[in-house]
Amino acid sequence: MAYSFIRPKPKSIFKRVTKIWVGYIILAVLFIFAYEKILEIQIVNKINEQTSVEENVESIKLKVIVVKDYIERLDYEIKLGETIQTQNEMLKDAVANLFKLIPHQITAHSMELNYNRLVIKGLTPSKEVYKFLLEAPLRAIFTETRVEFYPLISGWFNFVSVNRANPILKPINTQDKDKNDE
Amino acid sequence: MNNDFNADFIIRNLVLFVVFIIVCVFCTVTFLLPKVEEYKKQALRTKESKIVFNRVNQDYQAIEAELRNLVVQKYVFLADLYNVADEEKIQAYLQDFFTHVEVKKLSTSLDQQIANTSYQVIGYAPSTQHIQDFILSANKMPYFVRVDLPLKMEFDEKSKQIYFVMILSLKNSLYQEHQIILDNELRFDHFKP
Repeated sequence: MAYSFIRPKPKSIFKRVTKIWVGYIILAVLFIFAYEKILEIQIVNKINEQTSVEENVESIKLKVIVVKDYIERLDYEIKLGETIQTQNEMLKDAVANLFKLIPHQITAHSMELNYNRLVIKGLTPSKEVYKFLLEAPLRAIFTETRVEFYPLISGWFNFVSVNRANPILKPINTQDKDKNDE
Repeated sequence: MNNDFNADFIIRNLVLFVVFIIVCVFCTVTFLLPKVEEYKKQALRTKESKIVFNRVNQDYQAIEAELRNLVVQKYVFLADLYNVADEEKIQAYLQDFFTHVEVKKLSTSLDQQIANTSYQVIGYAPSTQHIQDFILSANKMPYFVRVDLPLKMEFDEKSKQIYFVMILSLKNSLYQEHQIILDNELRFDHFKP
């Protein structure tokens, strides 16, 4: 049996407007926290990125040091090569100049060339020819020149000329040169 | 009744709006703004790191280019220095210049990671000019060779040739490159022109 003419409606503690606003507030708070979370993730990503970049920087710095060191080494090796090439050229010139020293009147049979010593064995028509045409230029180069003559039946002489200390033929000592440069 | 309802509705809305604003401002100021600030600082730090990286990388590129240029220009020198020789190889090479060539290893020494091996070469040359030409062409050998003294030349009556004894000093680099050089393929032979 009904006592009211209208149907009963469900009643809430909060009104509809309040519910809507509470919904908005919760939504806004959620949105703010979500945004904060996204920022936090972004910060972590940035930190990781920075760490990775810094590691790369350290790695490249190390590479720079190693490559510089390698360039220095190659430079040293190249300079060594150039020095050796120069020494070979100097030796070739020294040998060529020695042959130019010997006049056509004198025949050299053997020649032994060392850093500070030159021994020439050969044949000369006379002692004077040797002295004027060969010994004079040898004296200009070497600090000490000594010769022994061995007379032949033909009137010619075999000679053994020993000459010492020729600074031109001394090897270039790269280490000493480097020390001087320093 | 209608006016009362409107006033209650407006006040309720206003109050809730204020609460909404307060909550939003509170959350933003307390939680969001410090994070934004932190993010900005971190972004700046990352950007600075990237700038440093670009500068260091630029330096590295320049040094690598320097290495490349050096190696390309002097590749032959370096290839010769790292080319290992022995008595047989030298003898085979010298056959083109001289006859009856004999090569004998004398000694080996090591300085600055460069092995210096001395060989005594005995042979016959058609003329002294051949010996002179060889001294110059030693620079073109596929090895790092220095023609050393003593150099002995003697005219041989029998063969009508010049019997000679000379010393060849062969340099060979034993330098061990850093692992970084090997890993990054920066060894000189990777820049072969």
